[in-house]
Amino acid sequence: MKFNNVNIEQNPKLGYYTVGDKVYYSKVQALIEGTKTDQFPTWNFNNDIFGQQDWSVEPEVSLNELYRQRAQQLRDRYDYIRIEASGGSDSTQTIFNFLLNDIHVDEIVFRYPKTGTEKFNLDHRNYKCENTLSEFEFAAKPLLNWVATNYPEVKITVHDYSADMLVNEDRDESWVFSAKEFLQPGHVTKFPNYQTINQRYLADTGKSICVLYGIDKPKMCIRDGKWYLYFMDFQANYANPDMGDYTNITNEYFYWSPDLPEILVKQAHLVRNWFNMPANNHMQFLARWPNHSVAQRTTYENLVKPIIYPDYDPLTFQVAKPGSNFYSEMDNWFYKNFKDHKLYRSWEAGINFVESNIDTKYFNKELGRTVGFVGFLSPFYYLGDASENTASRMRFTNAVYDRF
Amino acid sequence: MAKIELTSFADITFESNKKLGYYLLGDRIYYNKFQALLDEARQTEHRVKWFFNENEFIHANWAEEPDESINELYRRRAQQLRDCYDYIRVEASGGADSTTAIFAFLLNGIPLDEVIFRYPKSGEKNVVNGAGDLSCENTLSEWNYAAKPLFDWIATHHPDTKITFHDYSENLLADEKTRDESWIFRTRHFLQPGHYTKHTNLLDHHKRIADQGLRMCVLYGTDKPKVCIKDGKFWMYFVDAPTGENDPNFGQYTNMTNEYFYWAPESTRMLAKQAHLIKQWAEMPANHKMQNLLRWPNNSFATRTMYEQFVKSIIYPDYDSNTFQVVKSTNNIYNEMDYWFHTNFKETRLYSTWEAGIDYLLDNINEQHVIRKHGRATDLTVFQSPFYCIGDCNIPVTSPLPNARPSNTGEYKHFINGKLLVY
Repeated sequence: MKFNNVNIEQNPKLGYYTVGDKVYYSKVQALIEGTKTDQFPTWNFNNDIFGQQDWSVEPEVSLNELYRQRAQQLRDRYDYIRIEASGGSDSTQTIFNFLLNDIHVDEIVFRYPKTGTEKFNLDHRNYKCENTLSEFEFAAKPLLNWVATNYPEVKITVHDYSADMLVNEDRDESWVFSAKEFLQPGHVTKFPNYQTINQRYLADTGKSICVLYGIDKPKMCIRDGKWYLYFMDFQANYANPDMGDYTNITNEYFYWSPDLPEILVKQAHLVRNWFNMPANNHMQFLARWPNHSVAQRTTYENLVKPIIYPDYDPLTFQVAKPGSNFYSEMDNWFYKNFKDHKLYRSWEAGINFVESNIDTKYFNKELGRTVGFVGFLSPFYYLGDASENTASRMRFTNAVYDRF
Repeated sequence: MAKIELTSFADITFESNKKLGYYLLGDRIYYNKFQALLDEARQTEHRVKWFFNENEFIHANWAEEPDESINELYRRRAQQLRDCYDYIRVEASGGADSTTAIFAFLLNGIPLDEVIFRYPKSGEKNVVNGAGDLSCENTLSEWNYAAKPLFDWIATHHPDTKITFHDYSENLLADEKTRDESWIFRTRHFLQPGHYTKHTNLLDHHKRIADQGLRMCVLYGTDKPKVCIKDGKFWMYFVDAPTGENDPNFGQYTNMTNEYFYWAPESTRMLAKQAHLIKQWAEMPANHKMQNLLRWPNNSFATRTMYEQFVKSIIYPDYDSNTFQVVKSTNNIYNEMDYWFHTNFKETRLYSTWEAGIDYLLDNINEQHVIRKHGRATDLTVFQSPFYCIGDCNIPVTSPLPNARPSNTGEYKHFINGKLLVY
């Protein structure tokens, strides 16, 4: 099977790009067009709706209640809800938001490259990104077992996507058009929407199907003494946009949605409140802008998780995030076990294709190597002022601090 | 059994100072990590072990929080060093560790003789960006935006402290034509191109001071405490990588000594206080669910970096965490910090000599000590001390999922109130 005829989901709620007067739902296409026409693309992520939201007022309703409302909203809208579960905090809290409120979920699916990892040793002592496959054993499996025991009516699927990769080994470089951002070897086959027999059977019944992702923690920063929330296209481009000819399958993001922005507002204020506490105030530097620091962003995310995901156990096994969108450490199993496979060559051909057809200014590089596309940002939405505890600095107001 | 101390190699005399940590292979004591690893590969009977002040640390009272404030303990350490040495030079990077060490002297009226910043001036062409670039490749900007403001402040308020800006690329270039791969023995862990000349102890003006017979202390801000939660307890431990920052070569001088401001056997009260501050922060109800920042094992770069990010704002009350600092490097060999070298020295003999040293080491030590990423060597084994118990961790975690995490994290040496437990 080739990827020449990819039908990209045209769903503006997930974000889209504009180059001149042309609209693109594929970042790859937008960047190619931007290169050809020498026009820098712009990214629109629900700018109208989020622009009208009053971000400065914290909703009085609790976060858990807002999560319940969102789960119910989705339940009311779709006949069939499938949650893409990783065992991580975002998707696990999403599952809890349904099940702990007795709102039915039709299916929870965990994607796992089993065939590709026959030589892989699970290791619960290794938190490196390369050990991502152990997340199934130590994070997802306990969750799925808990669901199976307590909510037996939920269908649980463990999907071996490396098997699909092998079926599609004749693909050419055009596979890159079926990925919006992540050109890691397995990403485009990881999240099939209609490619399996069961999925097609279900879609053919005409039911409205929601493919639900736990996208994502709120991105926040402090600029000029003010807290802001913003969005970045990396996260918004996570879902698989290829829906084939089906019009009854829709990707949804549980958190980053224009349908219940109060969730984002509430989350943002809880985070801001935490950082404003005297004991935590000195950590505001983790949210400073610009935040090119991966270390600071990672620390910020880990601080934020327990604040906004009250039901998730932060000690759950989780490996570090990948450092690159093209050559993810998460795909170590692929680099290790498929090096001589033609699948590897088609993956490389795809990477070469984008490098040849997209201006270098649109790439992030690491030690001279292309590792991903540059990120696009939404507008900044003002949340309120950052209250700074200057106690530790007062001593230096007349001495050190002024000089820094 | 009498032990043999190896204190020199390849015309380099190593400082035989056990306080800085040492390696043991059979009955041989090494002060140079690479020498120990190379010798290990030549035999099969013994494995290299690292020792770091175990006698003192085993008997320290880690479980009890010292009553003194952390700033008072920093002051005492500064005074203790002042009382021991005639001349103290702080190796300053502009980062939190060395800046706090400097503050411990100067804000308490304790004289500090010299503060030195090391910078590869010849390598700065095309690699210095603005303050908005926090990528590791922009490391040289730490001079402009972190160290220089600090030095200006020192110059204004403490004019008695000598300020030195050392262009270590001059030293790199000085013996470019004669250097061979034995440069690796001038460093204790870090294999970056400039590291072995960066902290040189033998600048002319330092030799002149040493020639007067003064007792000289070369003081490093080594390092933040390593604290973790493991098996329901808070622990402190040490690793050897940060202890490899200093230059071990003092030539023939016996009156020069490297010292760590924090990781010293004389500083156990300070270390215990730091650990308890971190423990208290984690035990605050609003922070109960932040335990993942202290989780064990923490063998990923991201977890370790994350830990350092949040800890520095707890233990260094005088340091402004908003100070410019680039991201830590991810690699001990092809290090992002050395972008200047890879950019501006690529075709030089210097570059091939550096590569020859790396190749020699990688070819001659056991593969198990080489950490690789996508097949490329990025680091060497990091050795770890035993765990020293700080206290119980009774932080509740509530989740609908019971036992959602693995319990067994491997076998280690633990000391609880001086008693050894291995599990």
